[in-house]
Amino acid sequence: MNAEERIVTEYQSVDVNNALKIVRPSFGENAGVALYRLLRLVALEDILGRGATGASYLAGKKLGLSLQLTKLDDFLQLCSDLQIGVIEVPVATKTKIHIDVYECVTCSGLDVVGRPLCHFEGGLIAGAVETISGKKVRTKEVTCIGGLGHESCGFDLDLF
Amino acid sequence: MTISNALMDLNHSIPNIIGGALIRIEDGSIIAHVIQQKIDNDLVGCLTASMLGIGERISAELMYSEIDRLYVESPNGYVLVSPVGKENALIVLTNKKAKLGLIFFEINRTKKVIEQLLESNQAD
Repeated sequence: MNAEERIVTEYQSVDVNNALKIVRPSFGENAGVALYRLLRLVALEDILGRGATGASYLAGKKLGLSLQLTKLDDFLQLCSDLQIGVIEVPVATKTKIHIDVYECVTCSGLDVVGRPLCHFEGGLIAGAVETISGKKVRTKEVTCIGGLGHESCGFDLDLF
Repeated sequence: MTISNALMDLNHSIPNIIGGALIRIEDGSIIAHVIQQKIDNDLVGCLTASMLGIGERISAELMYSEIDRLYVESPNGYVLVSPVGKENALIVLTNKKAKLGLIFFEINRTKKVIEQLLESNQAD
């Protein structure tokens, strides 16, 4: 048990496996995009202010790491299954990757806000690619559909 | 002079200061740091950005003002977070013996140096 785990051990957290145990006979597994956006873009930002971006990135990264994926194709399939967006990977070298997300679940269709919005996706990509590549990864969102008016949400990844 | 140099100067200014980092609030990335212990950069950067966001919200709600700084006190020392300009945050770690008045003075001095460095970088 590391220091972080020791200190926060009193708090009963919900892990990924538990969160994905879904029993909803009337509605099934899927919920609307609106619910996610209200939580991520409205509720979280109302409480954390501009600190919501860091929290979202961290949440995405924790999830990305916990998936323990081994191949990039598995990650692309997961994004498709979870309907995060249509993913393209136009650049992939040992140290640089660029990923474009079209029809982004977080922001596609929004009136332009004036700043990047998809930090959860950035963290998710970073976490997944870290486990796939075995390297430290940092993503930076360089284009954003609803945030900045671009065609896709684009993420530059640096692998260390 | 670089941001790392400015952080190093801050670190050396008072022996009770044991580390510092400059964090971009927008995405929680660490621009530079002089923290000796091994840290998870994403965790520290994102938590600092979130902490600052909460501080700004509570200050606006209760004091009708922006924040000067916020700090966490632990048995091992202090974690001090101050906004630097509109886009960045300075996090400073001290041991428990630190005299906070002196530390705040050095932090304010370092913030000015970093703001000038960031301005000159933007002008380049």
